[in-house]
Amino acid sequence: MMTIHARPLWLRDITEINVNAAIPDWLLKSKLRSWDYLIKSGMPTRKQERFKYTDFSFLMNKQYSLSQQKDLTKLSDFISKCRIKHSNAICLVIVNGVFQPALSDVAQLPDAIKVMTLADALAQDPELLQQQFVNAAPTYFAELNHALFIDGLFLQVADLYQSEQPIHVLSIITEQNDCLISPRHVFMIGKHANVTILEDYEALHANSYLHNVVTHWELQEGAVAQCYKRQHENTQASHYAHSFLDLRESSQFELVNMTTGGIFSRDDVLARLRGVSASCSLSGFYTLKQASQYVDHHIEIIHQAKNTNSEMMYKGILDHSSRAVFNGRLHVDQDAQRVNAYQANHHLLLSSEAEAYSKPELEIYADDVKCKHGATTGQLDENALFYLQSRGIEKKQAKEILMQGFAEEILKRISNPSLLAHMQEIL
Amino acid sequence: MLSIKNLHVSIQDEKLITKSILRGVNLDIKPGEVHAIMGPNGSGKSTLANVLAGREDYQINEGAVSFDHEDLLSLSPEERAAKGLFLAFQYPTEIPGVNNMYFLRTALNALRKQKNLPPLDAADFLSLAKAKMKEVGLDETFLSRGVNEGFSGGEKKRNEVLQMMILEPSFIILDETDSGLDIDSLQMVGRCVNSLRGANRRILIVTHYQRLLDYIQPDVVHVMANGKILKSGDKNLAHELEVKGYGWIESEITS
Repeated sequence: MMTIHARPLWLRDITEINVNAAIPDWLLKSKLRSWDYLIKSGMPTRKQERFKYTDFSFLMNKQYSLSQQKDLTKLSDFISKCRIKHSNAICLVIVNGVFQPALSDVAQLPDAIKVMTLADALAQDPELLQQQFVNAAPTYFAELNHALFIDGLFLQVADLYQSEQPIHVLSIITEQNDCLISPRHVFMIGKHANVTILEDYEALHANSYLHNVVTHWELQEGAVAQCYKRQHENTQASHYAHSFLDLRESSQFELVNMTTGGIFSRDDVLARLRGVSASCSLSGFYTLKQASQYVDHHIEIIHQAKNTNSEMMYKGILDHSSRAVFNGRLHVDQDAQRVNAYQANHHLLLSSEAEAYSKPELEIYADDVKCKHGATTGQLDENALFYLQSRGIEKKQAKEILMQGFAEEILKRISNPSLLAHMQEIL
Repeated sequence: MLSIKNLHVSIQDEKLITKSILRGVNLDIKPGEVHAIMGPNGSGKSTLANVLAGREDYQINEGAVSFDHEDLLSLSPEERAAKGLFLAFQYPTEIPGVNNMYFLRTALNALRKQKNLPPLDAADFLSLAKAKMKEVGLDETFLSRGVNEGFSGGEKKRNEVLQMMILEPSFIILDETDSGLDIDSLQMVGRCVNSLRGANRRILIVTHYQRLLDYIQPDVVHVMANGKILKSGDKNLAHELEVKGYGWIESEITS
């Protein structure tokens, strides 16, 4: 029997994949394969374990078009408003998924940090990117990005370079029409280099675009990267981000994801700890203040080498009829001995209509492994609230203090005060 | 003047069974006076302290409490605090993630706002807090920790006394502040409470034992049992209780 898969309206409208000038042959082929996958597999449904709690039906009847907006005038005011205050951060601006060197602080970049549009990187060294793209997992939205991406940011940090200046990657959506934006970013951190990157998502207008991002991170031996993600898309928007992390020997990757924006937000992180003693700490905080707002973190960490450490620590506050999903999948290969892994997910529900789903998946094939996981869902502590009120603090402020206290465990991971202030702005 | 008239209070347990706890409490405390309430476990002392501070778990069935001519029971906990009421908790709550100094400063500035005083900035507050911490014997490192987070029993009590010293309330209720304290800590509590004693301040000490009253001489001692004040007297009543226990009062009343 033939299965007829649901194909969203907008995918029918986008009749051919967007091929920009001359792309390498392998890329064209893989884009066509992705396109084929999209046509054949159809939108994910809740029958698939990976999308058990994710209802994509709202996407079916959208009228997404591909981003056309090229007008970059009048953006400089908005960009200066979005800058990190009291910081020497180097701002790199991406508009509707296209990196804009002319709007960015490229002149401030040290020689050790190479930055260019992904299209240029593809022209310069296609093999380099071909190796990166191999790491992507075949999921619907990653394939959608692969079929449609034209550009994004390519950033490479030279071996041994210790960056003093944080990099502020500011993505702005300026489209007024509902459109589909598919940027592809590649961050390659050289041996024993150190870098801090703040990924920032902002929008000019309140419309319901779909921002479908794919980011590749490669950390060479001994590299250290702090990645702070600040997802502040407009309240109507959908944000889907895949991050693929490739961690070599003794490298360290740290993520703090702060999500408050969008009506729909999902982050799929796939981290491969490929080298001995690599470590990876993934954390996030989200506050959902809108009815029907949805946030989902699907985290997958694969320990492929011994002495590797990992952590997942996600916390969220849910109000009204919002929903949050956390799925933490941990996989330890048979040869990956002496592994330490920890995962935790805590929710605070402010409304009886809010829902939180938390699911750990542990697949452990090695025997010398320490893995712990825990999850809680609760309400504001009435005793703590009374304690604060009894000291003269108004109930509303007391609640805010308790919520801030709940976030503190995540916020304290950001040691740079200006970056912390910038991340906290959206809470 | 604090005036409690015929206060009846009950509580619902987890099985939704209503249990009567206070059964007609009458108590007047004039400015400048120190009162002590003693009594056996389960007599309703802590309930009285918590009802005065405004904890919501209780059902007020009858009676009234007026505080400087205002209906205290109609006020929210924070409004009571703004009027000068302060409860030193028997079991102070741990609030992880909320910085102790931030909490203390927010509380003080909330009260200052009510009095139309400008807020204290971080530097001024820090020097005030450091001076008061010395008095209560808490190390300055406790300012940067979470509120009561991981504090020992004694440290929690000192943190309560610290808040009392910083907020300078006009009506202080000490709910078994002495329980679990060593002699040095007990002396510190005595010293701090005595330093606040004054013509405009009312102090209510809830305790099982007479020990704390060696350091803070009460004007009036009440004995509470079974949700009522059975007997009131001067400080000698406390000594008498220490020698004879609580049983004789209950039998004296029933006979």
